[in-house]
Amino acid sequence: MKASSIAGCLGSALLLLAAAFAESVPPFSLTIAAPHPAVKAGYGVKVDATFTNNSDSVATLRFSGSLCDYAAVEVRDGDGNVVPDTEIKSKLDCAHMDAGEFRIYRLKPGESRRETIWVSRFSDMSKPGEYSVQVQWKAPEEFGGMVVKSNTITVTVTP
Amino acid sequence: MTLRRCALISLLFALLVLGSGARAQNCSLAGPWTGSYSGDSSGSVAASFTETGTSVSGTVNDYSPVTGTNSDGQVSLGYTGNHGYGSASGTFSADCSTLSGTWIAVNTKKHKTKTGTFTMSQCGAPTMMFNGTNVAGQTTSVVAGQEIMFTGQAPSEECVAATVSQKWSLPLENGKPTKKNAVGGYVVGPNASTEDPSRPQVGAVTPLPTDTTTTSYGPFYFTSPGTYTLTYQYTFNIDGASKTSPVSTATFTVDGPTDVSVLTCGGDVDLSTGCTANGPLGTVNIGTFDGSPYLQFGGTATNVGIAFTASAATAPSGSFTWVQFLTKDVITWTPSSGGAVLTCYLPELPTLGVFPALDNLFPYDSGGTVNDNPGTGLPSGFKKINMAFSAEMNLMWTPTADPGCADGDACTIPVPFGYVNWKVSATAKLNKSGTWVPSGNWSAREFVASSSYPTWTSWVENGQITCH
Repeated sequence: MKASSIAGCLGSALLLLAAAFAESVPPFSLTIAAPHPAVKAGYGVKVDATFTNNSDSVATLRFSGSLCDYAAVEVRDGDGNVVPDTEIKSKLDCAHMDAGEFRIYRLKPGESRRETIWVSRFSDMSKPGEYSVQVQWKAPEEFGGMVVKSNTITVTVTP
Repeated sequence: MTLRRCALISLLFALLVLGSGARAQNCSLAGPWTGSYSGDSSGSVAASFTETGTSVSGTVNDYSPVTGTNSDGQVSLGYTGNHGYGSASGTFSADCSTLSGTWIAVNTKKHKTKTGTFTMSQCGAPTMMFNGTNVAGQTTSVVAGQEIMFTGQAPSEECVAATVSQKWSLPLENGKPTKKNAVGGYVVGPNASTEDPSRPQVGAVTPLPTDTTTTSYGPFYFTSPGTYTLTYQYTFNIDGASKTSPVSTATFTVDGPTDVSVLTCGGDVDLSTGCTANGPLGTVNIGTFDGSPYLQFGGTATNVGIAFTASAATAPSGSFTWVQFLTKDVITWTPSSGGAVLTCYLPELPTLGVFPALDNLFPYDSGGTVNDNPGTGLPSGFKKINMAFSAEMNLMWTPTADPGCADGDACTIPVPFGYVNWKVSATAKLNKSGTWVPSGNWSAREFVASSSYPTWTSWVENGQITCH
């Protein structure tokens, strides 16, 4: 095989690889950060969640500010065990949202939107200790409705 | 001997004769004194003396012993060193708190002589430290919502040691304690009296600190632009006599957003630019939520129920924050069978159906433009559903925290600017063909400027309604 043919093959392979990577980028990404990595016990623990539209289309997002905005908020204790739900979370049936309000956001391609999530409303973080937090969010149906997982962060609840 | 050292010798005090013969009170020089000198050279003075009869002995800056007399209202002091000598003379003020006069310093090796005047107080005006700087006698620029914490201190170690009490003023506006334009904090936190302490249910203003008798005062926050002052003084005890220091005053010019207003609009709103004028709101319609029919006000990107856009003529670095109260949110279900009408409420703590109540979370949202689209599901078995909804959207503004502030959320608090009342009455009726038909009315009032903080004790969350 001539050198030029080899180069051509490599070029094609690289293009395919690039296309594969391009296709693998999810339409949304979700990054969380703790504004206060250490929180005194008894106070609410919140994280800042940043949603980014990685698609080529304008996305319309609806947030109610309720627990049901998210597919899941997983909080684990220092031993890696999932901590129990709060009372309000255990009573809530997100499949039956009878009423409420929504805020509408339009995210252009590449734009981000930051939401504050009080994770301690979902999970019992009342005991001092180190907790890992991850948030899952379901993208709009027009973007495939896929569940987007955030990074995992650590929050310490101090006595 | 350097010129500076020569100059410092100038702090030594010598004889003064009161020409009129009218002496001040029988003032004592004993104890610590602080002040300044000026003339051919200048600097600060920290001195301490003891008295035996009319004889005086003590230290002035680094020079000791400084000796002299205090007799018939005349103070004279002198010091002799290896490189020269100095002297000063002074008289007391009528209240004995201040000694002022003239000084002379002679450098015998360089054959140079310097002269000037001095004044010092026993003890002098205290320092007022804010962000690591003594702001006593200064005008300092801060921003509404910025944490302010003071520490005060007498101006010398001797005066600190002699301090027996201190007194801060409250933040003053035109010389009087400001009633509305400063607070001790704004707390959104758990309410131990409710069943779940992990939620941010309660919003409350923390009053200004009332302890004005320690070495510090604060934290507190100015909430409106303007000019304010704070004063501090201390009382010290020397040889069993209690005296009060001069008052130090710190002045603040408080910056913040000006000419703040809120516009409302709805429908096909460009949410990136928001409302450019008060305009028509969205409309009531039947949409879907999770595949089921849903009565809603707005609810889509091209039919936004109501959008709120905040503006300010000028504003320091910061961001707008919104807080909404539900003043009414009652849903009624009329059964198709003709039975009793059910009255329904969203989940609420601590008591169902009590208004006003915080709308879900604090803050409702942040940014220049926010929107709201209330709605309710349309269950089968009912022929008419009504949603009677009213709310008060409050606008607040939070300054950008100083990067050097280490107090977390306490570094800044939001400050209030006003509110907009708005309401929706939406009805869905099932027609004979089994289709839901929407109707309703809605309106928004004009923005009302207010410096009152939004507070609440009740809290509503979207979710499953309770009917009875």
